Amino acid sequence: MSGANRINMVPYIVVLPLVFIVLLFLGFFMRANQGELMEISPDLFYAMMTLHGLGMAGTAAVGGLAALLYLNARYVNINPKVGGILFISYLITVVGLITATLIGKFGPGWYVLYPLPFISKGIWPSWSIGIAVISLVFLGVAILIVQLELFRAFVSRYGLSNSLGWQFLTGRGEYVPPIVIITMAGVVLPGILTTLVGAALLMLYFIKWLNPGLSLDPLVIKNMIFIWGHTLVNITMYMGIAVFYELMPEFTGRPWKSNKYVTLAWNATFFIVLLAVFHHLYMDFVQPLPLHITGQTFSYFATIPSTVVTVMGFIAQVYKSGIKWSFVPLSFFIGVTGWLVGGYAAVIDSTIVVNNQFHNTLWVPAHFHTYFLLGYYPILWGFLYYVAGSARETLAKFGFASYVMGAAGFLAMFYVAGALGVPRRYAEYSTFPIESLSNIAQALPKVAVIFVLYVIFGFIIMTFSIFTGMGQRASTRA
Amino acid sequence: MASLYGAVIFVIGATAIMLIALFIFFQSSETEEAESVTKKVYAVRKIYFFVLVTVVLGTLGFTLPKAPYFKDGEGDVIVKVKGWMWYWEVEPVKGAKMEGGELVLPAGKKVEFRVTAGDVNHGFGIYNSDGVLLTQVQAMPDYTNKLFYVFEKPGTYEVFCLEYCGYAHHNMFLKIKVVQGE
Repeated sequence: MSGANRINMVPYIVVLPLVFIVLLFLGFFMRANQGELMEISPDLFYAMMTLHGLGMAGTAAVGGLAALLYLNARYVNINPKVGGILFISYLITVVGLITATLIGKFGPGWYVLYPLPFISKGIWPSWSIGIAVISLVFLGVAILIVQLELFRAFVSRYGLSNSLGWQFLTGRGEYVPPIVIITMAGVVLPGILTTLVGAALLMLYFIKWLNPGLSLDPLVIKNMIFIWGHTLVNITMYMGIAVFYELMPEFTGRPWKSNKYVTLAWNATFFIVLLAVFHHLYMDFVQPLPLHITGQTFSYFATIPSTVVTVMGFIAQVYKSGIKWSFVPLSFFIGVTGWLVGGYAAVIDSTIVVNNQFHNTLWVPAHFHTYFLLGYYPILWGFLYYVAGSARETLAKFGFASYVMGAAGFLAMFYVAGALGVPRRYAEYSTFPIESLSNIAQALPKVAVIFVLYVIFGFIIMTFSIFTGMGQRASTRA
Repeated sequence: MASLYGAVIFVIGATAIMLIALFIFFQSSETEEAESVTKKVYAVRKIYFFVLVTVVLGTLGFTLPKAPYFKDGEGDVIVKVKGWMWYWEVEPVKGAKMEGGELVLPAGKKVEFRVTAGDVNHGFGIYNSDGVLLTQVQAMPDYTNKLFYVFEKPGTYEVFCLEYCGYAHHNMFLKIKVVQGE
């Protein structure tokens, strides 16, 4: 099937890196402010923080879904219109969120924890809440449409049980879908379920915006927020994995076959994705105890399929393969390593007794920045580079080296601060009543911003390389 | 201490992951038949699977009972705490008092903090004077979380807000003075 070409990736290749650069600069400004290198008012700082978080999570999810549409169109018949719907909705959301945050100062943080969005003490106006909620509805609906379309396409081509790989367990079944289908069928399904929870949440927020007198249960809403937000981020990570499952064999020359272990791993992931969510609520002691225990247990269980099957499979791909390390497989290799390191830090934090001292310290952004900045995003850039077909290989690798080195240094500052108990989401650290902690909290971002500059410099070079590749391809076609 | 153990375990594990990654990377320039590599990886995988499952179950068994939810009963000292944007409202109930805006507590006694919030979510995080985060709990409207803690040493402690709560979140503190108990 030549369906791959029916999903137009050009808009994504152009816009996603540009949005990412803007979001990197926001991160730079926030760390510079925390290090007292510049002065940003708290209302603007928290609005930037909200935009940075929503922007990074949203861009990652949209990039992953676009990649899935493109790669799965090799095997199943996907309606190319959904790619357009996703992109236009993404643009609307980006414009809406920029307006709500940078103009309206909407700043409740990326997971918009109830009831903060609706109680700002006059910092952000009512219209900014409405615009933010409506913008997120656009993105949420588009994500749901893509997930439903993918699932429809899988089931209509292979059937439900085959799409989930059950023929490997039962020994019956006519079709053998490629590995990318089995992995994603197991992940798209919880994605659909939790996006519906997200839709319900946004509807409640929308009604609350129209009728401020409405009262919602903070604990129930908090659970809903994480069931949606955690799962969306988690699934985004898994979409990155699907990308290298599909593309790595093109560089190693070794097939990555579906089998019963892959099936078991990705079917288990369905439950793990849904049940690990509760580790976000450990510090809400009133949450029922079984949910706390479920959260830690399934966070730990997540290590089994991800390392035993995926990482071992990746090692079997690369080890003594004689691979030529061009930009694309290199980005996948770094991505898998970053994903593992970040995931490992997350598992440590998912231990309740440890979380009691790490929760809402900089350890949290340390681990999720690791598996995004050095995990998922390198895989996404590798994918975009693969599609764009750049000829500036050396330049791209030079930029990537700067990006990786900068990211490692930047992350190290987060980890040190987190281990020392420095709180996250503080516009300023000079306010601390404990001088020693205040001093170290202000010193670390001063170093971090230097590393962020390496990340930005490297990424601009990588983007230039991708853009020129796309331009060359277009001129060759012409 | 848990954060120190967590950080040390992280450094060891992250170093191991990166060393293994480097090893795989440098071995990748050599060539070997895919089938023979797969066999080797599967053999390692079998051992790794059993080791991992043992570590996972062992760590769960060791750490879950240490979770802060199992300290029940009533505290020797009781303090009601309510988070507001952007201050802490404190009401000593038993064995504690407020003195010049500071909460005064006895050392060596089981203190029960009954923590809630009046507007949005806050986080009640207790630091010692060296800047070490000792324990924390969320402060949520409509719910009361009970946090038990024994301050072993007299001295000054600080409460930081550990859940982002808006404009002056970074300026929401409470001083606790722990004095030698009777």
